[in-house]
Amino acid sequence: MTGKIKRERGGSVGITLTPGEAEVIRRAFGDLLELFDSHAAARPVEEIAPGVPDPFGSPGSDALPEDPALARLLPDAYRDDPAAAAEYRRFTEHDLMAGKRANIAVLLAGLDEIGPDGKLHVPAAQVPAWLVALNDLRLALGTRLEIEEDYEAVIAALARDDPRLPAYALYEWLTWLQDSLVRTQR
Amino acid sequence: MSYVTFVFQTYFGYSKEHATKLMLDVHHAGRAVVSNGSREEMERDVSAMHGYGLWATLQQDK
Repeated sequence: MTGKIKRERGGSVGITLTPGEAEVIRRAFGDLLELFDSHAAARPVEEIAPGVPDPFGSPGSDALPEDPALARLLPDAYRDDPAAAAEYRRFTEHDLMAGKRANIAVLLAGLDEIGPDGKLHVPAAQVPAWLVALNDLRLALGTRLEIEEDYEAVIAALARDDPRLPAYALYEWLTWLQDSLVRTQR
Repeated sequence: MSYVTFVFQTYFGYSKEHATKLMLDVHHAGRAVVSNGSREEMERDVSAMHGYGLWATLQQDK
C-alpha cells in the first residue's frame, strides 16, 4: 500500500488514500472502539451525562485490564506501588479512554471527508489527534502481534500464505502513515 | 522527527535537541526521566503521556 502525505500551505496536511486503505483504517478503529466498549461495559462508570462521569458516583475500574492491548493503552501509573496505581486508575482511566475515543472520532470524521480523488485535508489543529489515534491503533495492534524491535526481519521471514501476514502488513503501513504524518510537523 | 520527540516537544515545550535526546534515551535505555516535580504535577504529566500513548510511570526520588 502506498499513499501520499504532504504538508499544505497554512499547516494542514493533505493525505491521499485509496478506498481500500480508508476502509481498512475505519474497520481497524472500529475494532479498537469495540475493545474500549468491552472494557467500559465490564466496569461501568456512573455518568451524569453521556461521557461525563458522576464526580460523586462509584469509582471506575482499579485493575490493569487483562487484555494486553488495553493494558498497553491504559497502563499503570505507578510501577512499584500497586495501591497507588489502583487509586490513580480509579480516578483517571475513564477520562483517559474518553480522550482516546475523542481522537479516534476526529480521525474517523476526517475520513468521511475524502474526496472522489481520494484526497483529504487534515486541518493543522487536528493533526495531533490523528497522530495520537494512529499511535494508539499501532500500539494495540503491535501488542496483539507481540511486535519486537526485530519485527521487520520477522515479517520478511513469514511465508507468503501465513495468516498473520495481513496484520503485520497493516502494522507496517500504520507505522509508515504515522511516521509520514509526524514528519510534516517540524 | 519521531512521534516520541513530537510528544516531548508538544507537551513539555522542550527544544528539538532536548526532546530528541530524551527520545534516544528511551530508545536505548528503555526509559528516561522526562519530568520532575510535585506528586500532583507528575500525576498530571503521567496522565498526559498516557493520553499520547507513551508508557510513563511515576516514581518518588529516594
